[in-house]
Amino acid sequence: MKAMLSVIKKEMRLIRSQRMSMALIIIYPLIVISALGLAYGGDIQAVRINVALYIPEEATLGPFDSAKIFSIIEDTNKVNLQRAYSEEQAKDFVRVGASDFALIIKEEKTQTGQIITDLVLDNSNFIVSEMFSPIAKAAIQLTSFEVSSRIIQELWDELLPIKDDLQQELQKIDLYLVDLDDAELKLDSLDLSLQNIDIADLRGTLDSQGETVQAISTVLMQLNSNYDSFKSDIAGTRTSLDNADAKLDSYHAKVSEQIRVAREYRDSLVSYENNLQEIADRPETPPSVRADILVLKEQVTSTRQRMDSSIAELEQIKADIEESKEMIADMRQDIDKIDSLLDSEKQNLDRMNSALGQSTGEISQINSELGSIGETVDEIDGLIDSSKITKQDVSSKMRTSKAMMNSFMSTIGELGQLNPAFLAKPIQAFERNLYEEITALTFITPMALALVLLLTCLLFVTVSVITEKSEGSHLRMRLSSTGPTTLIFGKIVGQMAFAFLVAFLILFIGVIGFGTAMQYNLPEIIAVVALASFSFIAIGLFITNFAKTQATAILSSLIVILPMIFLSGTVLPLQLMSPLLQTVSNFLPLTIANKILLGVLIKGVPISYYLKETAILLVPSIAMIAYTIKRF
Amino acid sequence: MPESVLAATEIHKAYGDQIAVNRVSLSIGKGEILGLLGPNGAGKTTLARVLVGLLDPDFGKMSYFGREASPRQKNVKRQISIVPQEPSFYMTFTVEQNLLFFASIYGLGRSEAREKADYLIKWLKLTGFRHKRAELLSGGYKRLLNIACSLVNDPKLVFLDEPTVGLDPKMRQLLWDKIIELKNQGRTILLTTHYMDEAEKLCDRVALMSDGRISVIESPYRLIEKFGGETILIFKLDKSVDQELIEKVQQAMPGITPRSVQSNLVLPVKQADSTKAIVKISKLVEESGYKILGSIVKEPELEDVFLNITGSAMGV
Ligand SMILES: Nc1ncnc2c1ncn2[C@@H]1O[C@H](COP(=O)(O)OP(=O)(O)O)[C@@H](O)[C@H]1O
Ligand SMILES: [Mg+2]
Repeated sequence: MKAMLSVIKKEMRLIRSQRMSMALIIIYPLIVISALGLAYGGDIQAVRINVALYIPEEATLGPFDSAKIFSIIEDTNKVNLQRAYSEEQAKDFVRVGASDFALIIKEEKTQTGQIITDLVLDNSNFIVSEMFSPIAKAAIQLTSFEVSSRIIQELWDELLPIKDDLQQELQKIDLYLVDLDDAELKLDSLDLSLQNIDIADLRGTLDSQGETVQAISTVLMQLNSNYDSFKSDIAGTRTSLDNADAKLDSYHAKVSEQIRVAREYRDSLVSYENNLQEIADRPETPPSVRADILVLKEQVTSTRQRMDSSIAELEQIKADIEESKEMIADMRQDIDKIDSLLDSEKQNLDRMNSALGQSTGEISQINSELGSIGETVDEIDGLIDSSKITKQDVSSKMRTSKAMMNSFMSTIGELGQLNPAFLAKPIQAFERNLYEEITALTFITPMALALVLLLTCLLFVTVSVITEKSEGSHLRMRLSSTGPTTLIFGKIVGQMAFAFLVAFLILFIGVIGFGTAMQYNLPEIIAVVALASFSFIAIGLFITNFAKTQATAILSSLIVILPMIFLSGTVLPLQLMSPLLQTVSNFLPLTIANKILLGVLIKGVPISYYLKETAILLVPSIAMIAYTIKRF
Repeated sequence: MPESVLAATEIHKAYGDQIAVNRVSLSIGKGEILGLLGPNGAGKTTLARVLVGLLDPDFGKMSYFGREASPRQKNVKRQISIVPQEPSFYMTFTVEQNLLFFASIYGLGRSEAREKADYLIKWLKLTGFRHKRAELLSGGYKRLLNIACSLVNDPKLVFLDEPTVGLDPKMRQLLWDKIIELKNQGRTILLTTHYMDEAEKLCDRVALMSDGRISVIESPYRLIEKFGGETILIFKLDKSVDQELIEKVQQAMPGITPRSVQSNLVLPVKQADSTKAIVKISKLVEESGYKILGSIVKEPELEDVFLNITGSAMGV
């Protein structure tokens, strides 16, 4: 038990005494936690999806042409669109990883007019393709909704003004109908009038009696005019008599009034006279005052006397007026006598008139009837003309209405052609795999290869260099006449031989064990394995510049390896990481190795496609190797 | 003085504060074995590494084969070699594989390398281990392989860094023989060691090194003669030495201070006088009624030289 305790203590002291181990106790948790945290820390919602879109020039969708379809999809604003100009180009975008999936719109359509779209997913990494499948479908659905709502909107926009026009046309038609009814009525009545007229009969009567009536009527007209002039003279006289009489009446009334007012004045003057006399007669009235009062009374008396004479004159005028009125009354009696004479004369005339009455009546009736016939004929002409115009008007307007109806019908027809199924879902998407022969597990082969190459190349080369350094053969190499460049590159090539062995094993297992469908392009495979292993070896070489023992070399290699494993898309798809981290990740050798190996081994993308990635791998690798050569 | 194979002047190398090699100058003549003798930590390995091009000196000049040059130059590299103190080769390779590889990095062709490997294996008695992994060799054979690896380029100048440390006497003797053979092959050798006997036995000249400095370079005999001090004569007598005898000796050989340790008479004398003194003292002792049971002549060694020069003993 004691021994056990001391062993435990020793172990702890041992670890504490090794500075590297202590550093690693801090570094490993930090690196692993932060790498994992970063890897899983992306916001999936925020991920912008890159979609390669190919629309054939001739493609249409309902009323939309290819440009419009593109803009509709672009407007959904859910994805980053990359326009491809051929199906193959769209697929290539996915192959090289520039797009997450491709939408390829086909020229052919379904029976209901839906466009057929291939949704091409990169199934070389099934996790990623499983992840994008729903996203892609949702994007298509969204686009689909957008398209149908746009189509309906567009048709509606076309229909609305037509509908307004038609309403106006309907009102006009109502008016035409009224016009037509009217015209028909008129024509009916015309018909009746025409049936009632016997023009030949009327002409006969007119011819026989015409002359007699003419003569008689001339005499009667003479007499009538005489009587009328007398009658009017009498009426004028009577009027002037009446006028004069009325004037006299008003004079009479005025004079009578004047007389009445004057008399009232005179009566009040008299009482005033009497009052003054009485005051003067009173004994208490002083004599001086009395005299004044008497003077005043005399003045009043004289006024009253002038008043009396005025009244007398007024009485005279009044009497004159009454006399004139009597004269007028006499004149009126005379006139009445004349009038009655004239009236009796008039009775004679009237008798003669009534004798003529019948023939006159007939004539006037004929005249009026003849006139009405003329009017009717005119009216008929007018009506016929107007009804002709109306008819022309109506029929021309009817024609425009018909044209409008036709266009309405054709738009409706368009709507009718749009199958409800089409409107509900204008885009019919078919999920397709970019690589038909690939199984879900295919992608593990290149991934495993990248991972194993990383581990073997990096660790092998560090172990090899550190071994040489500690065993002293490194020293002998330094002393030899062979330069460090040759020695290092010899080492790299030697290490790469193992990389190829490892690659062969993994590919063999992948193909035999997992049925990986591989592209058997040997030069490409060699190039890509060489590239990946070269860059991993370079990292390993670089580490040996700072590590003194095997242990530190391996432990510090792990510091490089672990975060790369977490952040390279090996553990977690890159697409789930934050955009910033994705950018960082795209510079990690393991990420690039994954990508290129997958591309070349599985997708059949030629390595020449990955110029940028190759440069990102090679440039730092060469720098690290150069540094190592310099420090050799 | 023969043609100089290596001449170093004012070589200085410090690790941080610590000066490992302090303004050292030396020169090695063709076919010579120069011993770099000094205690552990004296700076021998550092100096050897600088001279062979594994370390850059802080300052100092070197010329090889009569021409000022850096040991990193290819033509120099081809002609020099070091046998490091520690075995330096691939432990997991066989003896032959190691030799073939190191030969190849000196530009030897396949058959040339094979020839060279065959020769070295035979010469260093490694035949039985040709196909054995190096890690399985015993310490002595590892040393031999280490030397073999350093000879693949047929160097004219060989640095041997403490070649016999920790070896059994038989193996040590074998190595010494081989070193002598190397010399006889016309190679120039710089050998570092902290063994006096090794230096004395193998080296034409010895450079005494301590604390990064070389204090003197001389042949071992001249060193002992110059700096070794006196030869000690010890006579074992049949009875204890009395004062009378001591006085007689003092009278006979003025300037000598004899001592007595029980029945031993101890006399430090000048190296050159030792033979004369032995004759003279034997006669005197026997005349004084003593019998000489035996005598020891203790000649000064490099150890004494070292002690006398550096003022400190050569701790091993
Ligand atoms: N790489 C090094 N770093 C620091 N000090 C060193 C190093 N190598 C040697 N030394 C020191 O330099 C001194 C000389 O060492 P070294 O040349 O190995 O001596 P020697 O070979 O004579 O035993 C010693 O004190 C040693 O501790
Ligand atoms: Mg040493």
